[in-house]
Amino acid sequence: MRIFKGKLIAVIAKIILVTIAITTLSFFMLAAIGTGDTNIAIFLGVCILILAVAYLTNISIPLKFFAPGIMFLIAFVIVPMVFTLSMSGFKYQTGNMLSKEQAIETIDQQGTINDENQTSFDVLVGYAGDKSSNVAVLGSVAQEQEGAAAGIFFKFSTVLGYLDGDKTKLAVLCTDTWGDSQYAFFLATPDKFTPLTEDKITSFDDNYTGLGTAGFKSFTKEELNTMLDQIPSMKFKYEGDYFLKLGSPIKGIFEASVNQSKLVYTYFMATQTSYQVLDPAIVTKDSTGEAIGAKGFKKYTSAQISKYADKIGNIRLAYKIAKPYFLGIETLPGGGSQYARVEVKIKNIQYDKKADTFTNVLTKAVYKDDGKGNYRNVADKTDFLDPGWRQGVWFENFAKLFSEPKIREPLVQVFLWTIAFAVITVISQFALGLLVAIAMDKKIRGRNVYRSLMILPYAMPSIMSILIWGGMLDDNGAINTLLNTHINWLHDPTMAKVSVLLVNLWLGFPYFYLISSGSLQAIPKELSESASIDGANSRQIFRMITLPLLLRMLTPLLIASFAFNFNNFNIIYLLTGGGPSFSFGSIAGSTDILISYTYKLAFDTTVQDYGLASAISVVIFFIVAGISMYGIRKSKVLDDFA
Amino acid sequence: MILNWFRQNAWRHIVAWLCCIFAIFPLYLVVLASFSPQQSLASTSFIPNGFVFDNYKLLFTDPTVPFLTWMKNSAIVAASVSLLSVLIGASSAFAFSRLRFKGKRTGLQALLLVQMFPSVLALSAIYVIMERVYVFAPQWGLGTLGGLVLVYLGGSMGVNIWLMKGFVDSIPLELDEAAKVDGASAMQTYWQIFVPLAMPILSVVTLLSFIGLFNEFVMARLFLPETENRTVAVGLQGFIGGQYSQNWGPFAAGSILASVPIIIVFMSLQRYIIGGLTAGSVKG
Repeated sequence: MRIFKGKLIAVIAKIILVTIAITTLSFFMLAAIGTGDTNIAIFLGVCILILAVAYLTNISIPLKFFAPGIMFLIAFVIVPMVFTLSMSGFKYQTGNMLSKEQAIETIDQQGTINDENQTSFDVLVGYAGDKSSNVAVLGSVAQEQEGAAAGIFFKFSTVLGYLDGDKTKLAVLCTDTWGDSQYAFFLATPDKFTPLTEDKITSFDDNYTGLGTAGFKSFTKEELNTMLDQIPSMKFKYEGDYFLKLGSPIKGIFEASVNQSKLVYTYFMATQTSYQVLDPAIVTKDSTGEAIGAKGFKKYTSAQISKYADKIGNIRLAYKIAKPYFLGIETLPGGGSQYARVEVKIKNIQYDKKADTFTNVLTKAVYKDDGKGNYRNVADKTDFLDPGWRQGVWFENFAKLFSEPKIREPLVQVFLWTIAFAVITVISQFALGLLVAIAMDKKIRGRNVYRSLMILPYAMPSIMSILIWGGMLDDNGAINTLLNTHINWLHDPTMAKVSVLLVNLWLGFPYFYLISSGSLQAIPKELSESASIDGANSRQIFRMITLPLLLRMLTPLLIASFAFNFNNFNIIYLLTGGGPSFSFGSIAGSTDILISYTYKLAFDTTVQDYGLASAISVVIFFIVAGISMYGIRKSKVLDDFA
Repeated sequence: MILNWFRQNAWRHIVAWLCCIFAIFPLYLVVLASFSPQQSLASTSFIPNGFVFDNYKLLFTDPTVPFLTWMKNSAIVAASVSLLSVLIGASSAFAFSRLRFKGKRTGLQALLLVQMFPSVLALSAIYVIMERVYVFAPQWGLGTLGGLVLVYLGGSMGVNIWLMKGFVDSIPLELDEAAKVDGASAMQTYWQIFVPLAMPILSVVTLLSFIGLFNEFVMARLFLPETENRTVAVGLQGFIGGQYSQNWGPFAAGSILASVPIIIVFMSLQRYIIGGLTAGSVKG
């Protein structure tokens, strides 16, 4: 008999392993607490407790054996399963993925539009006062101001007219006089300045002011009288950035002066609570006049920018027009620029916490909780706010399976095909497998070779073989080449079904061959021998003795295989993707089985509907559980548990 | 005489021949395509039209098809999960088979029930959990091989406990009873009697589980979006991307390289695996 020793080593090993496990879990628990994942932290805490109790005390021996396995099972199987099942009671789909609190926050955050003029400013981001969390922006608002050009006092005697006989093509003919009868002439339009030589001037007045040139015609006195209000706003181009403006005429001759437009800055600082226009005296400016600093304002360093990036991105700063206007920071400094961009926004959607409604302050529309996961416009039922939230709807998702034709009709077809697919698969795999098993139930020559070749499809990773079959059934694939046909194996509704069944037969018949041949050997030979003595032929023996016995032995495995194929996701998804679709844009297709259809509902479309997918999962779960439980009862697996 | 032989044996050979052809012709074509100088599907032929290693070379040289990395990822994930899950699951299986305790029947039934939930549909929940794990433990969260190992461990626990329980039941009770008489505790019986006895069985379950994991596709595809991180199943599927006509040759070569090790393991362990089949496992 074995002598039990080495207790010390076992105890030391145990202590080391438990310490490692608990330390690791504690480390992750602290990390989870750090990021606010309370649920995960609690779960890890419970795990630590269970480990400590199980291995450091002697309360329960079985717990020592179960603890690690059960933890994994709960974390990655049971919790997701319960979560999925519970989702079936919620409206949980694209647009309704958040909790109500998150949805309100998001609507509140997003319920803004830009002002009518799309006003925006480049600003410096920093803080006001001493607290670096008190975000402030410093902006410079440039305004063009026109005025006499600094240091240029020229005045020109000028005639106002037009070019090419077109009275909208305004032009001025100017005469520059200086020194002792020195003259220069030029023609100016709003966007062109053309110097003229004296010989181009066709007529002069007494003061030698040019009155006409080719293509230019001056306005008559009457015409000028009708234009008087427009004249002060006319601008004509002069050299460089300068332009000309006209004074009042004396006898049809204007005095034109040289003008210049300048950028004039005003400065403002905005925080969450205040907007103030700054006295230029307290602002430090760069050479162009833009603000680079101000008293009471400190610019953020790039480290501070990244530290406060989230806050800065969502902050609302006061604007000179009171609420609902505000300034929002659209882009942060970066990419070589020290400026951030702020935009003037209007908070048009406002939340009333007491009434639990949103109001659009511009259109006056009121949005109320519609009890179905959205805030809906009271006056216009088609208008609702995005996003919505996961609203508990009890059994609505289940009811939809039966009541909405758009869901029910594809679902019925998919369901029927699922049953057909699983039944035909099991029967065909079993029939072929059994045929082979019977054929090889005798020691024929080459049996081992046959056997090795035939289980190849089963030995091969099924993912690979499904993909290979996909290639062979392609329009240009091997099957069409071999048969010299152009059958659309994967995209024709009927042929796609045939393909799926054929490939599944290929994948599964070796399995049934293996188990049938094992079972055949287990049937006592005496039975068939005595039957043949009684005069039964071999067909009768098979029908009356072998098959019934075989079926009784294999029923549990046939049921297990049915349950497996009922949810055989890979073959459908990888071979046909469930297609071809019933109709254009329909999610379900001719070869979709429940599980592939559900997967597509939940993950493969643009409008993902987790709620509906979970409801179908629950149905699948009950069907498969029912079938399997029946199978288990048949096989009496649970009998010897007690 | 000849007629009699024909009645008794020839039909057996005919059935065997037809089924063998059915079983191996896709594999024959893939082997052919993998050595064919043409890469496209259109040039499918049933007679070898050349013998080159270009398709295989491409798998090892083309940087956009990190085939070796994919194989390595698959091997790491499948090996660590199958080893760990047997290590962890064996003790539960032992307890279910040998210990007497309250709630054993309920526990087993619950374990069975959990198996029946289609795991494909719990994907979104697992995804959300692992997304959050990534926040506080980046090397174990979403998009990492470590995270996939954790998820697989959880998922394979149920099947493996169930399967091993079946095997443990077949080990004679007398041995542990004798140990008990000698004063061994449950833990001692487990480590010093059961584990050495069950070693061959545990190895078979490990290998079965390895093959099953090698085949896993849905979870791996959702979990590992980056090319470098993919397992070989996901990598090759993405490589062919539904467009069979273009990369047929390299794909054929890749699927052969990925399958051969599995086929060898399977063939050499046939006897044990078939024993496991009747105990209730269904290979995916």
